[in-house]
Amino acid sequence: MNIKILHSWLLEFLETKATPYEIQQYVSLCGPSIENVEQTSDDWVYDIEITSNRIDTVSVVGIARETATILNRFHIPAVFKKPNQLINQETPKNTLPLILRDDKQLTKRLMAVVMDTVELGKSPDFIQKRLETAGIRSINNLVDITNYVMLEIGHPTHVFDYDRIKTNTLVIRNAKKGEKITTLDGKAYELFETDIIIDDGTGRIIDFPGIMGAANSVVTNDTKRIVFFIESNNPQAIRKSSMTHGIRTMAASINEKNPHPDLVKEALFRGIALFKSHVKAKTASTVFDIYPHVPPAKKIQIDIPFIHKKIGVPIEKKQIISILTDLEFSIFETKDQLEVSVPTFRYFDIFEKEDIIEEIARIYGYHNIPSQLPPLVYIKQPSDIEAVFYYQNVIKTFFKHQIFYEAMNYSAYSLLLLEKFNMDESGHIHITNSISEDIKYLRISLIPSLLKNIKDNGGGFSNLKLFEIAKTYIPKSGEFPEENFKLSFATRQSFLYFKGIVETLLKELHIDIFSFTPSFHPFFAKNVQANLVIGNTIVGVFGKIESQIANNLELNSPVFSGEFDFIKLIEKARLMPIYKPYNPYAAIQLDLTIPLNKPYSKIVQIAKESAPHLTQIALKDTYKDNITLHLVFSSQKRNYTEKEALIELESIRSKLA
Amino acid sequence: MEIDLTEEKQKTTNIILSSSSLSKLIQTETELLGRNGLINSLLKQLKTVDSEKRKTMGMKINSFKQEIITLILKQKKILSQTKNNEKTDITLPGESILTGTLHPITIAIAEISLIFSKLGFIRMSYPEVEWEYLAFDALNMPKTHPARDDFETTFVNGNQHEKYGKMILTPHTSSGQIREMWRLKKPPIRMINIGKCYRPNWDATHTPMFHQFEGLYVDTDVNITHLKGALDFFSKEYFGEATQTRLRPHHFQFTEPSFEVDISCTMCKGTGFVETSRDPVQKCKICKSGWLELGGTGIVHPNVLKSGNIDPNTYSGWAFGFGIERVIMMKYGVDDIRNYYSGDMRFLSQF
Repeated sequence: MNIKILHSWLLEFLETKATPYEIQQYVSLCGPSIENVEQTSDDWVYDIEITSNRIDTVSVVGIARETATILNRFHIPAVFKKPNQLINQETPKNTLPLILRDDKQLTKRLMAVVMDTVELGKSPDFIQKRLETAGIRSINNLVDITNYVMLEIGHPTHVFDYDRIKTNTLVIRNAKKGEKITTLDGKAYELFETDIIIDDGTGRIIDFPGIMGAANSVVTNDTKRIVFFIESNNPQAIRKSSMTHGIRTMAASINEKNPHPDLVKEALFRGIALFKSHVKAKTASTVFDIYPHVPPAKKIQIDIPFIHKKIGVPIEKKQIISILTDLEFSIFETKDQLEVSVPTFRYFDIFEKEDIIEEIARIYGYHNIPSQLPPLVYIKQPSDIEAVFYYQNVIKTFFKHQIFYEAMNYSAYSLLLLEKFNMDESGHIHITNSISEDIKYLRISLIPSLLKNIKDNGGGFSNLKLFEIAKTYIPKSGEFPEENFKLSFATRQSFLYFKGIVETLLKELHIDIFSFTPSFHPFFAKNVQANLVIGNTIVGVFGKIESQIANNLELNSPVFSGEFDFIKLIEKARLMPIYKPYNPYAAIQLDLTIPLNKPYSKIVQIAKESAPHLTQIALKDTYKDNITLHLVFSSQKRNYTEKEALIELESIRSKLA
Repeated sequence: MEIDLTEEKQKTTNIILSSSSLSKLIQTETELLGRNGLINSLLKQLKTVDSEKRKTMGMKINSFKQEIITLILKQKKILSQTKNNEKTDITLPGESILTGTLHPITIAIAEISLIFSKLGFIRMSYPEVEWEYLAFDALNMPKTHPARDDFETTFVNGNQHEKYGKMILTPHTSSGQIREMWRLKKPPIRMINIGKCYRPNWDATHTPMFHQFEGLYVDTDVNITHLKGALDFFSKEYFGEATQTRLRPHHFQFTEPSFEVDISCTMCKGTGFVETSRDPVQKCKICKSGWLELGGTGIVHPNVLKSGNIDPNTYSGWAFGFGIERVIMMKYGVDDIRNYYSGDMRFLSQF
């Protein structure tokens, strides 16, 4: 989260001559990131990113503490003006009753005080300005002070209209399923059992603590008496409620990051002081404080050589102690050993030695730590992994040069799309908390996405050719799904064009032994599909998209597609083909036109059987029901003659007749 | 009988000199010097010449032949020179030779893998469907961490593992850290894991699927200087020699200390301001005061090493995880991330 604070406010807790730009530059290097500094008519605004572990810096006081420590390391004098430990010395004459109950200890600490004779009105200008800078709308002096305290001290606070509570009672409890609350912005929510709310003892819900106040208890223009109330919440409960209901207030953002309960007291007394001075309020009750479990003090042992080893720089012990002391850690030192006591505001952030190292290193300055290349060692990359990445590049480049475009699609598709392919959702793994129905079912094939791409690109790309290499996720009952790399591609050309690409790809991979066999895949038209078989393994299947599926996708012209198992495809791939010495003797090339009255593969087989010197056979042309074959005859021992070749040609012709 | 060459000489000279193209000249050459050409027919006539003059006549024909050869050579030279004077409009477009494209992610992955291979890092690949344990618990992320909830993690159906919890789509490549430690059992480790990651977030700057590259380095005597050295190296190799890097404090559960790495802005050269011909000096729009965030890094948390069965007292390491879409944006200015996975040719055809 980010906070915006004014330079002038920061200077209330920081004495320095540093310019805002110096503060931005140096604090960003060693502490919270000041992403922007902007000059206003008479002030400067800092926009600061607060990381989730450093919720102690979500306040003007927290930033002042960091800034003073850091500026001193850059030789710019700076002093942190710690806020005075305020105490409430006033003893009220007439005490107004208030009952607080948290029987199940749903909060870590509860503090409250009743205040009387409030003079409702506008806040002073400086308060309005500071709130507006932070992005908080000024409402009235009561509400504004609660927000002012939150920004200054770093703990959310709340104010109730004492008289609107009616029962003088605040009971912290879990909501019952179906109970309703209307928050102060007028929105109604139906609650869950995981939500923690405040009830006035009669079952009437009067607050959503730590998240947002309720409309029925919030201060109004008629408010005379208030309850100033601060609770230390369970951060997980706040996170859950705030996210589930979508109420992302600044209070919720801070409370879900677990500010220390000690801060509650600081915030309460700061608030009381402000109510007194700006709202003319008087305390009208004792200060209530329910704090059943005070976290024990935290100490960490660390030795100097360990610090040096991990940072890589021998920082002097004196300097180490000074850094930690400035950050309000207290140190007990014995020789090379330090016992570091963690301040309460860092309690949920600092756990072990490494956390202390981080504090020392960042304030010492990461920019002061030298940079060196790590020593080289050889690690063997598993050869199967190496092959996958190597051939992905080879195959992707091949497709690029065949005028294919590489698509990358989401790993999941919609129910609608899988049903268009007559697939069943049960064969898929699905995302249980998907944010969109478009990406709910993990792909078991890449073809649906590619065909959707073709459809989505529309008529402007009529010859569009796409390919994708990605994983599919096949469910395995009771265990991890099978993740396999697949190669898929799609074109509009023709079945034989598609087959040609497959054959050329195999040539690129120097795979010689393969065949195409009949296949029965439901994505493809019954008689226009084939398996690619390498060795004895079916590597993939391709064909013309079945017409019902094509209709479902509203594809107006035929589309051809296929999918290949990537690992099986590259298993027999070679960097170089198997070398064969070339035949030095003359070969005879002849053409033969015959009727196409049987499958081409059968014709080739017969031709080869009937002509011992036939060394190459290719399809040259097809015309009506005839085909022209291009034949090469040769001998390994001598120049072959035209006369000999013609005899073999006639033999082929007669066998094929 | 005698043969008079005067007329023939006149005629052949004219024919040769009037040949306007090389092919015509070659035809003329055959007509004069070929098997059935003029010279041969003259030589055949020699036997009709009186025997006392035959020798002189023969010599005359031979010198005529030499003259023709010289003349033809000369004319050939002239004609081939005019061939060099051929003119073409070089501003006409070349023939359209089509090519497809690779996805920008593919291009970036190739660049990144190559850079880290120079530092001895091997590229690995790990599952995208992962156990909660490997993506979180093993990486020092407590059960209550907000990143583990429904709003930041993508859960899938399937049986829950007794020890490893639910199945999820990995929200980062960091789960590969534990798998690489388990695979190698003993350091040294130098891994770069590049893969798809998933988070339930879909808006102008987020897509529910994206790519990360994760580096893991584990060895003895590792300190912050090594992490800085390697990331400086990467930044200079990928973004250019002039690139500066800086580390800022940050927070990640799997590292301690944790850093955010910034590089000097590629657009404004780290000044934070740009000057254009049209506008006066303006704040750079793509960076924050001259710096661009590259991503997160840090010294591997001892608990993470323990999950990987590596003794944190002997070994330590550093790791980082950066977004590939982000580095492409920073280097090439390809900004709208939603285009990456749309399959839209207006986007794909550009690369």
